[in-house]
Amino acid sequence: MEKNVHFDFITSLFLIILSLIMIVDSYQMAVDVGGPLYASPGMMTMVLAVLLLICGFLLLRRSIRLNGVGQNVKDFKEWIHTFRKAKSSQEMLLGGAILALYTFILAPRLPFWISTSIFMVFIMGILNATSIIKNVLITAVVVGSIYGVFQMIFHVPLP
Amino acid sequence: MEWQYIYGVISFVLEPTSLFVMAISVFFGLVVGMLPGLTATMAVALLTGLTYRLAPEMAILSLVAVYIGAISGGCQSAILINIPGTPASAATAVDGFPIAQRGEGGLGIFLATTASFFGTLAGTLCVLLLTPPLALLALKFGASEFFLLALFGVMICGQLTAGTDPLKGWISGIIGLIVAQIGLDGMNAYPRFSFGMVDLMAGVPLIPVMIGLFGFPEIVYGLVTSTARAQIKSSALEFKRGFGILMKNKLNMVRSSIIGVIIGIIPGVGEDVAGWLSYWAEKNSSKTPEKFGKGAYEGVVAAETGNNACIGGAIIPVLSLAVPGSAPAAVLLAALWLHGLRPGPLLMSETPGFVYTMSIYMTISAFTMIILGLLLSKVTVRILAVKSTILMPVVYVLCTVGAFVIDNSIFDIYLVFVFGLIGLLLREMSYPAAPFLLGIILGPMATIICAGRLFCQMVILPRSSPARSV
Repeated sequence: MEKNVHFDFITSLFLIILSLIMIVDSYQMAVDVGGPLYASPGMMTMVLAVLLLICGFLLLRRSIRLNGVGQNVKDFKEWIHTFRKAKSSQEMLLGGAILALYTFILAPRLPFWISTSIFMVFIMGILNATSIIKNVLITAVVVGSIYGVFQMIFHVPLP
Repeated sequence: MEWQYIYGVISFVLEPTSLFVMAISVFFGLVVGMLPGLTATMAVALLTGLTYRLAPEMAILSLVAVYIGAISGGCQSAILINIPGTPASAATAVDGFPIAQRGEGGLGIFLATTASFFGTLAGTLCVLLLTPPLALLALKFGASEFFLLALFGVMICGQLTAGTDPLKGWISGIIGLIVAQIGLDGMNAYPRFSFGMVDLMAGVPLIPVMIGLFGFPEIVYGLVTSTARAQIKSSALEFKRGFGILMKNKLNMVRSSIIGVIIGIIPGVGEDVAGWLSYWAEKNSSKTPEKFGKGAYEGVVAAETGNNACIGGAIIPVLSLAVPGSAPAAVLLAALWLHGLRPGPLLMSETPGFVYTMSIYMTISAFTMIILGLLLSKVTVRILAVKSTILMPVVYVLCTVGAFVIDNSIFDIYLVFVFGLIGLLLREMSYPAAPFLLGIILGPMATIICAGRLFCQMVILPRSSPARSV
């Protein structure tokens, strides 16, 4: 538990800000719609935001009690420094970026078989998963299987 | 009438197409279950999207089969390489791996698979016996009880899944409840937190969220840890000796089944806790506790019976209260809704035969699981040798397809990614994802009407009505 105290500190601040914004928004919903507060669209969200605010304060109090404000900020800065230099985090970011590329750029714009082929060949190539020939073969089998099962057998449209 | 219904369901399950779909689903579950990092929750979530276009009966049969297959499949990697395929099999590895090290891997797999089979059947029996009375009790619930039930479900799930830090579980659950509030409000059609996006006005769809929450972090971690696993060797299954050991463990299996079912009924606890508790109970009652951890057959039998009995236990509150007992059961609940069924108190009056349907699906899936699990154990473990850098891109493509086919909406694929990032953050910061998902599932139950009525009953009426206070 103590390993992530600096995360808890930052998270608690984020939760407190988020819940305060939600409380204001929920009150605005009640004003917009009118009528009693408990029947407004913001009632439930306000209750939940208050619960989140309480949890945020509890988390903040605990993180400060365990580490103090200064140490938490220092630990968080150190973590950012380590994260930026660590190979595993760079690989994770690279992997995430390729998944984002497929999700937001390739899949919405190209037909399924083209976008998925590009994605799979690219990601397995970058991660040195296997030889290029095997890479292409695996991609062809996967794309062909998914296309065959969904599009041809079940007649399900693909992205 | 009931017998006619049961006969109809059995006829449906024994049709060649149904048997084929069930066999494929169990096999898929076994494979996902044995692959470290891919959980039963992810298997059910992935298949929920992929089976969306199937007929509801076929889709639910497939989901139940994959659930049972995935929980059972985890034991194979736990025994053969000391890496539990799912958290549910963690307790199995403690004694299973030493058994394999002694050159009795086949015997270990036989014991684990057969104990899983027994546990699943015991859980099924409890589904039949306990669901109707629990549903009748739930019929007496009013709006405020349901609001409190939703809140209780999320809080207890947060408490139990967050290990030593329940506060994080509660935060995760509350955020899930908040996400469930996104979209048009039911009373005034007011768009809550939709930021002017039409896609969000209908609310956040459940399937892309759960695929993202549970699948995305596994995929990203799988891409980072690209190590290939060693080829596995498994010895002969030793049926005769295995049956002899199981006969000596009758009491162990009954006790573990009871523990598994009870743990399953508690919202959000899940199969992993059931496995550990059953193991612990057997160790404590054993005359030779010093053998545990060194390859005791009793340990494997207890853990596998307990975690599989938990499946039935987790399904009981799904059917009777619409509150899932574990994370995979939460996904199963979502899938039932998706296919037009309404689990909950009205289940016994609207579709009284569904409890039998579910029980028959579970029973026949259990038989399929034991047959496939034993027959294919030597083949399926070879999949463990596939590098995660090859496997994970395939899994991500299946995740996007699964999310897309529900509404044919590209927006759902975006949601997989966004909630995947949230899932990754939750895991990095040691927040459990199960309460988050449970919050989204139970959020609609805790609607503004419930909150409003609760407010009236608890705050306004006691002050204004003397009759009520009397």
